[in-house]
Amino acid sequence: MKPFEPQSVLINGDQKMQQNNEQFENDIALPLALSEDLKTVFTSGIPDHRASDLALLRDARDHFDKIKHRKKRQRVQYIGKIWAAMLLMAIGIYGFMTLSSDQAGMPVQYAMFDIDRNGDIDILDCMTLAAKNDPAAPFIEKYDFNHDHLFDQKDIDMIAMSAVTVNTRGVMQ
Amino acid sequence: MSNKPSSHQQDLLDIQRANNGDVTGFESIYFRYKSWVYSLALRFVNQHEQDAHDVVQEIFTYFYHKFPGFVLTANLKTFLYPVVKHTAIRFRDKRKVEMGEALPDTLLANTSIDHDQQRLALAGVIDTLSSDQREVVLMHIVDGMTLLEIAEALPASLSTVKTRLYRALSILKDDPKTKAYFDNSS
Repeated sequence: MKPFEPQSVLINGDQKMQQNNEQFENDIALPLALSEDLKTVFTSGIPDHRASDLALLRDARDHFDKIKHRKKRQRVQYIGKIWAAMLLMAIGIYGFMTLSSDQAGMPVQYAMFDIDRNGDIDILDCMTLAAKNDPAAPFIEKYDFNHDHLFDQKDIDMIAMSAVTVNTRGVMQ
Repeated sequence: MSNKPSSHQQDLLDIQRANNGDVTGFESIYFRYKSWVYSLALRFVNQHEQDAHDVVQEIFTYFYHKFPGFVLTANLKTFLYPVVKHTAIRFRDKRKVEMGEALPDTLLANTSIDHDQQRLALAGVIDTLSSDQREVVLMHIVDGMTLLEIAEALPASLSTVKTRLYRALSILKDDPKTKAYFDNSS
Protein backbone atom coordinates (compact mmCIF):
# COMPACT_ATOMS: atom_id res chain seq x y z
CA MET A 1 0.00 0.00 0.00
CA LYS A 2 1.40 3.38 -0.97
CA PRO A 3 2.02 5.65 2.05
CA PHE A 4 0.10 8.91 2.29
CA GLU A 5 2.22 11.91 1.25
CA PRO A 6 0.39 15.08 2.22
CA GLN A 7 3.21 17.44 1.16
CA SER A 8 3.40 16.11 -2.37
CA VAL A 9 -0.37 16.13 -2.61
CA LEU A 10 -0.37 19.76 -1.55
CA ILE A 11 2.31 20.71 -4.06
CA ASN A 12 0.48 18.88 -6.80
CA GLY A 13 -2.74 20.60 -5.73
CA ASP A 14 -1.10 24.05 -5.93
CA GLN A 15 0.43 23.24 -9.28
CA LYS A 16 -2.91 22.05 -10.57
CA MET A 17 -4.63 25.22 -9.36
CA GLN A 18 -1.99 27.34 -11.05
CA GLN A 19 -2.40 25.37 -14.26
CA ASN A 20 -6.17 25.82 -14.01
CA ASN A 21 -5.76 29.57 -13.61
CA GLU A 22 -3.39 29.77 -16.54
CA GLN A 23 -5.78 27.66 -18.62
CA PHE A 24 -8.67 29.91 -17.65
CA GLU A 25 -6.74 33.06 -18.55
CA ASN A 26 -5.87 31.49 -21.92
CA ASP A 27 -9.50 30.51 -22.49
CA ILE A 28 -10.74 34.03 -21.87
CA ALA A 29 -7.98 35.58 -23.96
CA LEU A 30 -9.04 39.17 -24.35
CA PRO A 31 -8.94 40.97 -27.67
CA LEU A 32 -6.06 43.42 -27.57
CA ALA A 33 -8.20 46.29 -28.86
CA LEU A 34 -10.73 45.73 -26.08
CA SER A 35 -8.02 45.82 -23.41
CA GLU A 36 -6.47 48.95 -24.84
CA ASP A 37 -9.78 50.77 -25.20
CA LEU A 38 -10.82 49.83 -21.68
CA LYS A 39 -7.51 51.13 -20.35
CA THR A 40 -7.93 54.37 -22.32
CA VAL A 41 -11.47 54.92 -21.10
CA PHE A 42 -10.88 54.01 -17.47
CA THR A 43 -7.39 55.32 -16.88
CA SER A 44 -7.07 58.98 -16.11
CA GLY A 45 -3.84 60.86 -15.74
CA ILE A 46 -3.74 62.55 -12.38
CA PRO A 47 -3.92 66.32 -12.69
CA ASP A 48 -0.86 68.20 -11.56
CA HIS A 49 -1.44 69.24 -7.95
CA ARG A 50 2.09 70.21 -7.12
CA ALA A 51 1.20 72.08 -3.96
CA SER A 52 -0.69 69.19 -2.40
CA ASP A 53 1.98 66.73 -3.56
CA LEU A 54 4.59 68.84 -1.79
CA ALA A 55 2.45 69.16 1.33
CA LEU A 56 1.91 65.40 1.51
CA LEU A 57 5.57 64.62 0.93
CA ARG A 58 6.64 67.24 3.50
CA ASP A 59 4.37 65.62 6.10
CA ALA A 60 5.71 62.21 5.10
CA ARG A 61 9.29 63.47 5.46
CA ASP A 62 8.51 64.72 9.00
CA HIS A 63 7.05 61.35 9.84
CA PHE A 64 10.04 59.44 8.47
CA ASP A 65 12.47 61.82 10.21
CA LYS A 66 10.77 60.90 13.47
CA ILE A 67 11.18 57.20 12.64
CA LYS A 68 14.86 57.74 11.88
CA HIS A 69 15.43 59.66 15.13
CA ARG A 70 13.51 57.07 17.09
CA LYS A 71 15.64 54.31 15.58
CA LYS A 72 18.83 56.27 16.33
CA ARG A 73 17.71 56.85 19.92
CA GLN A 74 16.88 53.17 20.32
CA ARG A 75 20.32 52.26 18.94
CA VAL A 76 22.05 54.62 21.40
CA GLN A 77 19.99 53.23 24.28
CA TYR A 78 20.82 49.69 23.19
CA ILE A 79 24.55 50.42 23.00
CA GLY A 80 24.34 52.23 26.36
CA LYS A 81 22.70 49.19 27.93
CA ILE A 82 25.42 46.92 26.55
CA TRP A 83 28.14 49.22 27.91
CA ALA A 84 26.44 49.42 31.31
CA ALA A 85 26.13 45.63 31.42
CA MET A 86 29.78 45.23 30.46
CA LEU A 87 30.82 47.78 33.07
CA LEU A 88 28.82 46.03 35.77
CA MET A 89 30.35 42.71 34.77
CA ALA A 90 33.84 44.23 34.89
CA ILE A 91 33.18 45.72 38.33
CA GLY A 92 31.79 42.41 39.53
CA ILE A 93 34.74 40.44 38.21
CA TYR A 94 37.21 42.96 39.68
CA GLY A 95 35.44 42.85 43.04
CA PHE A 96 35.41 39.07 43.04
CA MET A 97 39.08 38.93 42.11
CA THR A 98 40.15 41.42 44.80
CA LEU A 99 38.03 39.81 47.46
CA SER A 100 39.09 36.31 46.75
CA SER A 101 42.65 36.64 45.48
CA ASP A 102 44.20 36.65 48.97
CA GLN A 103 41.82 33.99 50.18
CA ALA A 104 42.20 31.72 47.15
CA GLY A 105 42.33 28.11 48.21
CA MET A 106 41.17 28.84 51.73
CA PRO A 107 38.25 26.63 52.85
CA VAL A 108 35.05 28.64 52.86
CA GLN A 109 34.27 27.89 56.49
CA TYR A 110 37.58 29.57 57.56
CA ALA A 111 37.45 32.57 55.22
CA MET A 112 35.29 34.52 57.69
CA PHE A 113 38.07 34.31 60.29
CA ASP A 114 40.56 36.05 57.99
CA ILE A 115 39.71 39.47 59.41
CA ASP A 116 42.64 41.35 57.86
CA ARG A 117 42.15 39.54 54.52
CA ASN A 118 45.80 38.68 54.12
CA GLY A 119 45.12 35.03 53.23
CA ASP A 120 46.19 33.66 56.63
CA ILE A 121 44.31 33.03 59.84
CA ASP A 122 46.70 33.99 62.57
CA ILE A 123 47.20 35.98 65.71
CA LEU A 124 46.95 39.20 63.75
CA ASP A 125 43.32 38.37 62.99
CA CYS A 126 42.72 37.82 66.70
CA MET A 127 44.34 41.15 67.52
CA THR A 128 42.43 43.00 64.83
CA LEU A 129 39.16 41.57 66.03
CA ALA A 130 40.02 42.20 69.69
CA ALA A 131 40.60 45.86 68.82
CA LYS A 132 37.07 46.01 67.40
CA ASN A 133 35.61 44.41 70.54
CA ASP A 134 34.32 47.54 72.20
CA PRO A 135 31.30 46.90 74.46
CA ALA A 136 30.07 50.43 73.74
CA ALA A 137 30.11 49.81 70.00
CA PRO A 138 27.01 48.48 68.27
CA PHE A 139 26.68 44.75 67.74
CA ILE A 140 28.39 43.55 64.52
CA GLU A 141 26.67 40.40 63.38
CA LYS A 142 29.38 39.22 61.02
CA TYR A 143 31.80 38.81 63.93
CA ASP A 144 29.32 36.74 65.93
CA PHE A 145 30.90 33.46 64.84
CA ASN A 146 29.21 31.28 67.46
CA HIS A 147 25.77 32.81 66.80
CA ASP A 148 25.03 33.66 70.43
CA HIS A 149 23.99 37.19 69.42
CA LEU A 150 27.00 38.64 71.19
CA PHE A 151 30.34 39.83 69.86
CA ASP A 152 32.69 38.90 72.70
CA GLN A 153 35.82 37.05 73.74
CA LYS A 154 34.32 33.70 72.69
CA ASP A 155 34.24 34.83 69.07
CA ILE A 156 37.87 35.96 69.27
CA ASP A 157 38.79 32.63 70.82
CA MET A 158 37.26 30.84 67.85
CA ILE A 159 39.71 32.62 65.54
CA ALA A 160 42.55 31.80 67.88
CA MET A 161 41.50 28.15 67.83
CA SER A 162 41.36 28.13 64.05
CA ALA A 163 44.72 29.86 63.80
CA VAL A 164 46.47 27.13 65.76
CA THR A 165 44.62 24.17 64.26
CA VAL A 166 44.66 24.82 60.49
CA ASN A 167 46.61 26.72 57.96
CA THR A 168 44.89 28.70 55.23
CA ARG A 169 44.35 25.53 53.19
CA GLY A 170 42.67 23.80 56.07
CA VAL A 171 45.71 21.60 56.84
CA MET A 172 46.75 20.95 60.43
CA GLN A 173 49.79 22.92 61.51
CA MET B 1 19.35 39.11 -18.73
CA SER B 2 18.18 42.33 -17.09
CA ASN B 3 18.92 42.82 -13.39
CA LYS B 4 16.17 45.38 -13.01
CA PRO B 5 13.91 44.31 -10.14
CA SER B 6 10.28 43.48 -10.89
CA SER B 7 7.58 45.88 -9.75
CA HIS B 8 6.84 43.70 -6.72
CA GLN B 9 10.53 43.39 -5.83
CA GLN B 10 10.88 47.15 -6.20
CA ASP B 11 7.89 47.61 -3.87
CA LEU B 12 9.52 45.33 -1.31
CA LEU B 13 12.81 47.24 -1.52
CA ASP B 14 11.03 50.57 -1.13
CA ILE B 15 9.02 49.29 1.82
CA GLN B 16 12.19 48.04 3.48
CA ARG B 17 13.78 51.47 3.05
CA ALA B 18 10.66 53.20 4.37
CA ASN B 19 10.59 50.88 7.37
CA ASN B 20 14.15 52.05 8.10
CA GLY B 21 13.00 55.66 8.10
CA ASP B 22 14.11 56.48 4.56
CA VAL B 23 11.48 58.78 3.05
CA THR B 24 12.69 58.08 -0.51
CA GLY B 25 11.26 54.56 -0.21
CA PHE B 26 7.82 56.07 0.40
CA GLU B 27 8.28 58.73 -2.29
CA SER B 28 9.16 56.06 -4.84
CA ILE B 29 5.93 54.18 -4.05
CA TYR B 30 3.95 57.42 -4.11
CA PHE B 31 5.09 58.43 -7.58
CA ARG B 32 4.66 54.88 -8.90
CA TYR B 33 1.11 54.39 -7.61
CA LYS B 34 -0.54 57.79 -7.25
CA SER B 35 -1.85 57.80 -10.82
CA TRP B 36 -3.33 54.31 -10.41
CA VAL B 37 -4.89 55.26 -7.07
CA TYR B 38 -6.37 58.38 -8.71
CA SER B 39 -7.86 56.41 -11.64
CA LEU B 40 -9.25 53.81 -9.29
CA ALA B 41 -10.74 56.43 -6.97
CA LEU B 42 -12.37 58.17 -9.95
CA ARG B 43 -14.33 55.00 -10.72
CA PHE B 44 -15.91 55.04 -7.29
CA VAL B 45 -16.51 58.78 -6.84
CA ASN B 46 -18.50 59.23 -10.02
CA GLN B 47 -15.65 60.92 -11.82
CA HIS B 48 -15.51 63.72 -9.28
CA GLU B 49 -11.91 64.84 -9.73
CA GLN B 50 -11.60 66.79 -6.47
CA ASP B 51 -12.87 63.82 -4.47
CA ALA B 52 -10.49 61.48 -6.30
CA HIS B 53 -7.65 63.82 -5.53
CA ASP B 54 -8.65 63.94 -1.86
CA VAL B 55 -8.78 60.14 -1.83
CA VAL B 56 -5.20 60.03 -3.14
CA GLN B 57 -4.08 62.35 -0.35
CA GLU B 58 -5.92 60.37 2.29
CA ILE B 59 -4.69 57.01 1.03
CA PHE B 60 -1.03 57.99 1.03
CA THR B 61 -1.32 59.74 4.38
CA TYR B 62 -2.84 56.54 5.76
CA PHE B 63 -0.12 54.53 4.04
CA TYR B 64 2.92 56.41 5.38
CA HIS B 65 1.53 56.13 8.90
CA LYS B 66 1.83 52.35 8.46
CA PHE B 67 5.61 52.79 8.75
CA PRO B 68 7.66 51.57 10.50
CA GLY B 69 6.58 47.97 10.81
CA PHE B 70 4.64 47.64 7.57
CA VAL B 71 4.80 44.10 6.16
CA LEU B 72 3.67 43.51 2.61
CA THR B 73 2.22 40.01 2.38
CA ALA B 74 0.78 40.32 -1.13
CA ASN B 75 0.99 42.57 -4.15
CA LEU B 76 0.84 46.26 -3.19
CA LYS B 77 -2.17 46.78 -5.49
CA THR B 78 -3.95 43.98 -3.65
CA PHE B 79 -3.27 45.79 -0.38
CA LEU B 80 -4.26 49.22 -1.68
CA TYR B 81 -7.34 48.27 -3.71
CA PRO B 82 -9.81 47.73 -0.84
CA VAL B 83 -8.47 50.77 1.01
CA VAL B 84 -8.94 53.00 -2.04
CA LYS B 85 -12.33 51.52 -2.80
CA HIS B 86 -13.76 52.02 0.68
CA THR B 87 -12.25 55.48 1.09
CA ALA B 88 -13.64 56.55 -2.30
CA ILE B 89 -17.08 55.15 -1.51
CA ARG B 90 -17.02 57.08 1.77
CA PHE B 91 -16.23 60.29 -0.11
CA ARG B 92 -18.97 59.57 -2.66
CA ASP B 93 -21.56 58.90 0.05
CA LYS B 94 -20.52 62.01 1.93
CA ARG B 95 -20.97 64.06 -1.22
CA LYS B 96 -24.38 62.49 -1.82
CA VAL B 97 -25.49 63.55 1.65
CA GLU B 98 -23.99 67.04 1.34
CA MET B 99 -25.38 67.73 -2.12
CA GLY B 100 -28.65 65.90 -1.52
CA GLU B 101 -28.37 64.58 -5.03
CA ALA B 102 -29.06 61.10 -6.24
CA LEU B 103 -25.79 60.33 -7.88
CA PRO B 104 -25.86 57.26 -10.09
CA ASP B 105 -24.02 54.28 -8.68
CA THR B 106 -21.72 53.94 -11.62
CA LEU B 107 -18.13 53.22 -12.47
CA LEU B 108 -18.50 54.76 -15.90
CA ALA B 109 -15.68 57.03 -16.86
CA ASN B 110 -16.18 60.54 -18.07
CA THR B 111 -16.46 59.68 -21.70
CA SER B 112 -17.38 63.16 -22.83
CA ILE B 113 -13.69 63.76 -23.34
CA ASP B 114 -13.45 60.69 -25.51
CA HIS B 115 -14.96 61.21 -28.94
CA ASP B 116 -14.32 57.77 -30.21
CA GLN B 117 -17.69 56.15 -30.85
CA GLN B 118 -16.53 52.62 -30.22
CA ARG B 119 -15.03 53.57 -26.88
CA LEU B 120 -18.21 55.37 -25.92
CA ALA B 121 -20.15 52.27 -26.81
CA LEU B 122 -17.74 50.13 -24.82
CA ALA B 123 -18.10 52.39 -21.80
CA GLY B 124 -21.89 52.17 -22.18
CA VAL B 125 -21.85 48.37 -22.26
CA ILE B 126 -19.47 48.20 -19.30
CA ASP B 127 -21.95 50.38 -17.42
CA THR B 128 -24.70 47.83 -18.04
CA LEU B 129 -22.73 45.09 -16.29
CA SER B 130 -23.52 44.39 -12.66
CA SER B 131 -21.24 46.30 -10.30
CA ASP B 132 -19.50 43.07 -9.28
CA GLN B 133 -18.84 42.02 -12.87
CA ARG B 134 -17.71 45.53 -13.82
CA GLU B 135 -15.32 45.65 -10.90
CA VAL B 136 -13.68 42.34 -11.78
CA VAL B 137 -13.34 43.27 -15.47
CA LEU B 138 -11.69 46.59 -14.63
CA MET B 139 -9.42 45.08 -11.99
CA HIS B 140 -8.26 42.39 -14.39
CA ILE B 141 -7.97 44.38 -17.59
CA VAL B 142 -7.33 47.97 -16.55
CA ASP B 143 -5.44 47.40 -13.29
CA GLY B 144 -3.64 44.31 -14.59
CA MET B 145 -4.36 42.27 -11.48
CA THR B 146 -4.27 38.49 -11.64
CA LEU B 147 -7.32 36.45 -10.72
CA LEU B 148 -5.75 35.44 -7.42
CA GLU B 149 -4.90 39.05 -6.57
CA ILE B 150 -8.48 40.09 -7.37
CA ALA B 151 -9.85 37.30 -5.18
CA GLU B 152 -7.62 38.44 -2.34
CA ALA B 153 -8.39 42.14 -2.73
CA LEU B 154 -12.19 41.92 -2.92
CA PRO B 155 -12.24 39.47 -1.03
CA ALA B 156 -14.01 36.67 -2.88
CA SER B 157 -13.29 33.10 -3.82
CA LEU B 158 -11.27 32.43 -6.92
CA SER B 159 -14.15 30.61 -8.58
CA THR B 160 -16.44 33.58 -7.92
CA VAL B 161 -13.95 35.89 -9.59
CA LYS B 162 -13.68 33.56 -12.57
CA THR B 163 -17.43 33.30 -12.89
CA ARG B 164 -17.92 37.05 -12.75
CA LEU B 165 -15.22 37.65 -15.33
CA TYR B 166 -16.48 34.91 -17.60
CA ARG B 167 -20.07 36.20 -17.48
CA ALA B 168 -18.99 39.80 -18.00
CA LEU B 169 -16.97 38.87 -21.06
CA SER B 170 -19.85 36.79 -22.41
CA ILE B 171 -22.07 39.86 -22.17
CA LEU B 172 -19.49 41.96 -23.98
CA LYS B 173 -19.12 39.25 -26.61
CA ASP B 174 -22.85 39.03 -27.17
CA ASP B 175 -23.59 42.74 -27.14
CA PRO B 176 -23.82 44.09 -30.69
CA LYS B 177 -22.00 47.28 -29.65
CA THR B 178 -18.89 45.42 -28.44
CA LYS B 179 -19.17 42.22 -30.47
CA ALA B 180 -16.83 43.70 -33.07
CA TYR B 181 -13.90 43.56 -30.64
CA PHE B 182 -14.17 39.77 -30.45
CA ASP B 183 -14.93 39.30 -34.15
CA ASN B 184 -11.90 41.33 -35.16
CA SER B 185 -9.61 39.42 -32.83
CA SER B 186 -10.47 35.98 -34.20
